[in-house]
Amino acid sequence: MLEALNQPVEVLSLFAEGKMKPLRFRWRGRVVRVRRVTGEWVRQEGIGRVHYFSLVSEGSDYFELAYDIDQTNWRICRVWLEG
Amino acid sequence: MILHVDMDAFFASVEQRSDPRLLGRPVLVCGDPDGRSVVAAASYEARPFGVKAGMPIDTARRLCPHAELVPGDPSKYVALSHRILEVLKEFSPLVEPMSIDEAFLDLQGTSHDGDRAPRAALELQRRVESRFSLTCSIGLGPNKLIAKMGSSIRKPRGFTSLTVESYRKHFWPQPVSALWGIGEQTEHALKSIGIVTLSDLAHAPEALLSATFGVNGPRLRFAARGEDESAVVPYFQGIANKSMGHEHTLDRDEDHREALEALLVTLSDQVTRRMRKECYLGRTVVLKIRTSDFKTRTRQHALEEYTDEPRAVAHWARLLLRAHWNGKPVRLLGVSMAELVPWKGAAHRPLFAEDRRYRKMVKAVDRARDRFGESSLLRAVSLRMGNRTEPVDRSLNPARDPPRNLA
Repeated sequence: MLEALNQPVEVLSLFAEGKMKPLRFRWRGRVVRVRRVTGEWVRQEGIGRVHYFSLVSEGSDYFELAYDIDQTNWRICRVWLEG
Repeated sequence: MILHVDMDAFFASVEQRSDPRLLGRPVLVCGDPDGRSVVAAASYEARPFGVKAGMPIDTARRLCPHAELVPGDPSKYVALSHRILEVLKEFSPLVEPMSIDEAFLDLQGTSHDGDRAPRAALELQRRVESRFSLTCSIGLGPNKLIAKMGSSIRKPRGFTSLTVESYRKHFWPQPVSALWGIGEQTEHALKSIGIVTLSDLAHAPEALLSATFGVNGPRLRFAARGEDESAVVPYFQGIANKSMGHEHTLDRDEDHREALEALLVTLSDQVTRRMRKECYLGRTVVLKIRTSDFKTRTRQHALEEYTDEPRAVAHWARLLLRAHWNGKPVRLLGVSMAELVPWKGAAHRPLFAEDRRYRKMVKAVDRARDRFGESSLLRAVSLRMGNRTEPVDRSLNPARDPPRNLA
């Protein structure tokens, strides 16, 4: 099932050619490597812009991360847990 | 020639594309999966079970218990829709978005017109699929109506090219409901005068249609014949909004008038906020009520003056509720403003001091919401039903952005 989390998360990301891409992040004590970014979109939240990413990890789990430009922080928004 | 591009099960396909483990599985995109929302989109894997858009989640769950329920995220679909429009513009500058997942292209004057149009349609399909892993169905025709009708013939990943003659051959034996724009009520009205198929409609006496439908009667016959003179309106010219509205399905059926009126205040606030953001004034307040027996009624009232202020809209929405609600438990309430006119900040200064103060307050609230988000300020009346009636704004994150006291 899809679980809503909205927790701060440490993300190692690549900023290049005007784009950003999450590469790996630490979640529940382990490092999750991003295999593929499957979608990205931007949402206006007040005066702030938040960049959202849907991605699949090397372990084939599904995550949604958000980068808040104003707060310069990452959140893990949703994760798919089997069962 | 005109192309009509229709994305296949768009919302559900976007979710399948985002999360590859959903591929090949029945997916239902909805509001809150644990609440009482309706299905916004069903993937093709879910459709054989009888699930379709607009169906309550409970019913969909019964029909397809193993479906994956995914809460929809409009900003995700809008972002992708804009990127798809960029691909369509590679084929023609005349692109008219009809909705988030449909658009018309006018190929006239481009190198893709005439005999080359079918090849362009297939190339467009290929580009969309290769760039976004999403499929679309395309109709090709001499006008918008035929192109639109054509795209519905083969789905998903379909392509149908129709002439006026082949349109008539295919659609005339079909019921009138197959015609774009004919809803249940019009279908019943047509049946009551003996018109069942599109062929019947195309050959019906004009006087009979005019007597039943007024000026729309001859238009219906015109459409049934596959005739349409409307132009493709490019996206950059914009399309004037005819109405704006918000509606909310309650967590449980509600029969307390006070609670319903509290929800109307919140909905009026949301509608007028959007109008002010997009610079519109409106004159007609429309109330929509759906009771627990799924009967829906809409009632409206024309104001003396155009407005974008929540107070006036909420006042008339409440009066409409008091006059037209039959007392049965309410499942859904909606407030819309119709007869919209664009307003570009011209003088709109109220005459009386009290009204000027109110206007200032509305503007101050707008500025606070612009800066801190829509949930930064809530109307106290919206707390009358606790959190139950506060419509969910998916752009908000209450966990991170609790309502702030700005005083």
